[in-house]
Amino acid sequence: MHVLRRFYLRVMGVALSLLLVAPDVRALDSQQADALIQNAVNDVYTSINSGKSDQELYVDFENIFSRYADVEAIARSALGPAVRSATPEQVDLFIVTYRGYLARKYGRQFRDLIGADIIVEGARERKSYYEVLSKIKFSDGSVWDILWHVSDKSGTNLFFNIIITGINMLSSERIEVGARLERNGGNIDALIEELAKS
Amino acid sequence: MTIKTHLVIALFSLTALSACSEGTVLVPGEIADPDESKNRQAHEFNKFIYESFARRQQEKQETSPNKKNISNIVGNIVSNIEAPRGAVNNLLQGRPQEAAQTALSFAINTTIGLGGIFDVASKAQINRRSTDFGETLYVWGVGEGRYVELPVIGGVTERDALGKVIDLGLDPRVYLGLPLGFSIARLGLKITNSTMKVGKNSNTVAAIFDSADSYSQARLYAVQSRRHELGQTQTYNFIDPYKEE
Repeated sequence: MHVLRRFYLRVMGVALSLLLVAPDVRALDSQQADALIQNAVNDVYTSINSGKSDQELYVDFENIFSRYADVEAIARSALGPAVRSATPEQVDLFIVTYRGYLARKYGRQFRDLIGADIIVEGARERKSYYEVLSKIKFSDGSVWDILWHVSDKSGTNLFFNIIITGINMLSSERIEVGARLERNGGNIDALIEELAKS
Repeated sequence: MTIKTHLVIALFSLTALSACSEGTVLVPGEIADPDESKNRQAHEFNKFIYESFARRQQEKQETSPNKKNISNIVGNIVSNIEAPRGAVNNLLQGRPQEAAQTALSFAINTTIGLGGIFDVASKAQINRRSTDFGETLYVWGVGEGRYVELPVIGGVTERDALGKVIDLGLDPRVYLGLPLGFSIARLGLKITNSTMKVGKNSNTVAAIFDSADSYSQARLYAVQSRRHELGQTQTYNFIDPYKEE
């Protein structure tokens, strides 16, 4: 009886401590993923419909990427195996330059969404990440899906990929950066210089 | 070409398609492109058309509301003309309700909508489901086949290329003797046939042609957006940037 009670108390104790610790262990849940993308989408919407000049729009998009996206992971993935042969200084410079390039490119592309309604439909848990679905509703009744992949592996909740009507940003970026690197004869410094100008 | 010729070509290609699809084993999400060098030649031609005609056309369309209205009207006419194709293919895919709605929409828009200029049916909540024989083949379980970039038409999978041939038999333009005129009008709006949304995604299309390897980007765009249309992207579109290279 005595032994049983001690065992019972110990189990309760462990359960209680698990309960207290649990919210800290699970840093990211579907609500947080949903909220992150809701905020990102609001910022994108405000920015593209503000009537700002292209230059101002690119500054906005760079801030949006810094705040909501894991630019480092995206940049490393885009550079691919070339990351291994680059010096840490080159990698750092590449990431910063790439962020500006990404902001200009997607700032330009997201102008296609001007005037459309953007609705965040909710997050779904996947194996190692969360997938947030948003829908772009155009005035003519057509609808685009945008999927955002969100993870906390960087230590913060950030998105690391966008899939616009099925087209995968990381796939597209790997092709683009790979082609640019090849065009520059595999020279990472030349690649960085080119990205800074485009 | 008569319908009979179309059918003969189509059946022949279907046999060829199923034969070659069996031989290729692909990682999910990859694109089979054994004809890359030939495709790249077609791409150069399409890029030339885009740069010398379509890009400027799109930019003008963006800035002028008048042009936008015209493009809406042409868009309405084209979607109406494609409704018979949609109705038949919905039926072949086992979607009788969508087939009926699409047929009804065609009847209403052709008559009350003055030949499809006005989309009266949509306003009356009669929504057509646009589809094609490429999707029908997908529903029937035919594999995607290899990637083909066709001059003017753009990038498609082999399955969709075959679908397009069959769909010509369901296209009123062929019977009206208007295939060329309409195709040219459509080209101005569509550029590549990979999407129905050009005009709306002109900046995205511009980004493809501006990229370092526009052929590969166009291929990714055409195939991934088509897979998305067919509802088959979810399963493999995850790339993990956190795993060690």
